[in-house]
Amino acid sequence: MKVIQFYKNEKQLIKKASNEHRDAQRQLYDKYAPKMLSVCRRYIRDVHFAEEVMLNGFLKVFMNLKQYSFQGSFEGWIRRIMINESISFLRKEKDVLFTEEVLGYTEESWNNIHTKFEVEQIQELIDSLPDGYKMVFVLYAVEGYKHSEIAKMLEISESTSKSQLFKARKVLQQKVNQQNNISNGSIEI
Amino acid sequence: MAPLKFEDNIKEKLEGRTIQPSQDAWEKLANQLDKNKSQKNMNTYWWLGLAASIIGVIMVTVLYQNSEIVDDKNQLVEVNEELDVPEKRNQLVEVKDVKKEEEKVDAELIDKEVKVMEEQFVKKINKDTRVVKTIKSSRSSSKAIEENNNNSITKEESNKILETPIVDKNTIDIKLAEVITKVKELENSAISVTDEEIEALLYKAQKEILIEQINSNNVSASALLQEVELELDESFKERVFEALKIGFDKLKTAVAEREN
Repeated sequence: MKVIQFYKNEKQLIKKASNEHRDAQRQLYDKYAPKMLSVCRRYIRDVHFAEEVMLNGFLKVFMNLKQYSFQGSFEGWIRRIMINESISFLRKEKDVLFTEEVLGYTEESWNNIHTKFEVEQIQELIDSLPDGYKMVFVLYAVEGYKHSEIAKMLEISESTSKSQLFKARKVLQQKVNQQNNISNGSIEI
Repeated sequence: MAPLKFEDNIKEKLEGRTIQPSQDAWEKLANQLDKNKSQKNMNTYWWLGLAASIIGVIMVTVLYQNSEIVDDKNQLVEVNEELDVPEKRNQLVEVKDVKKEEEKVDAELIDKEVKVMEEQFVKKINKDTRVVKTIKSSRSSSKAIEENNNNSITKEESNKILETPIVDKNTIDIKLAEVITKVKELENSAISVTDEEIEALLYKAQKEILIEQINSNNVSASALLQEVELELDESFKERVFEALKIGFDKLKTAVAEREN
C-alpha cells in the first residue's frame, strides 16, 4: 500500500513539476540530487565541476519533464540525463582519445583480484584512469550498458569500446597490484 | 567466502554512494529556471508578434488588391447600382427621366429631318412646276403656233407634261406622308429612331417613286439598279437575281408598250 501511495504521490509531484510548480521541483531535487551528484562524480574528478554538471542536468530534467511518459523508472530517466551531461562535459573540456591498442591484458588475471576496496579507494582508482578508459569502464562495469550502447553514446565502434574496457581493466589491475604490494598483499576469502 | 568479483565490488560500492550538494546549489538552479521561463515567454511573445505582423501584411495586401478591383469596376460601370436602397431607386428614376428627354430630343431631330426632306421634295416639285410654267408660258406665247400644229409640244404631250408633274407631286406627297407616318409610329412605339433609319425610309420611298415612274413612263438602267440596291438588304445573291429578273420583265413590258 505504501509503495502504491508513494508512486501516486511521485506521479502527482512530477506532473506538478512539469507545470513549473517550484515547490514540486524542489522536492524532486531534494530527493534525487545526492544520488545524481554521485553519478556525475564517477566521471568527473572535481566535485565542484561534478555539481555544476549535476545542476545543468536537473535544469534539463525540469525543462523536458513533459516528455517523460511514465514508462520506466523516473530515477533511470534522470540518471541517463546526468550521464550524458557528464560525457558532454568531459569531451568538451578535454580531448578524449580512444586508442585501439590492447597491451598484454588477460581476463583471467582480472578475475583473480580478490581485494575489497572501500568506495573512496575505488573512486581513487577510477580517477587515476584516463578519461577514455574511465568512461567506458564506468558505463560498462558500474552502469551496466552493453558495448553496442556505449558505442552509440560515445560515437565510437564496438571494438573500440571493448578495447577501451580491456585497457581500463589492465590499468586498474596494475594499480591494485601496486597497492597490494604496498600492504604486503592482504587477501580475504 | 566466495571471491567477489572486482567489478561487482566496484559497482556495489559506487551504487550505494550519495554526495550532498552544496547549500546554494538549489538557488543557482532556481535562478536558472526563472531565467529560462522569462526567455521562454519572450520567445512566445516574439513568435506571436511575428505571426501577427505577417497576418497584418497579408490582410493589407488583400484589401489593397480588392480596392483596386473596385476602382476599376467603378470606372467601367458608371450607372450600375442596386435597387434595394431607396436613394438608388431615385437615381434610377432620374436615369429614366434622362432617357425620356433623350427620346424627346430624338423626336425633335426626326421632325427636323422630315422637314428638311419635305423641303427637298418641295424644291423638286417647284422645279418641276417651273418646268410646267415655262411650258405654259411657251404655250400661251405660241398659241398661234399651236393651232398650226408646228409646235414641238403637242397638246397631249403638254397635257402629259402638265399631268406628270401633278402626278409626280401627288406620289411624292403620298410617299412623304407614308414616311412621316412610319416615323411617327416608331416614335410612338418608344423606340429610339436613328438618323440612319429615317434616311433608309426616305430612300425606300424614293425608290418606290422611281419604280412607279418606271412602270408608268420610261425605263432607265439607273432606276433598275436602284431597285436592286433597295432589295439588297436581304440575301445578296437571291435578291440580285430576283431584282434582275424583275427588271428584265419590266424592260420587256416597256419595250412592248413603246412599240405599241
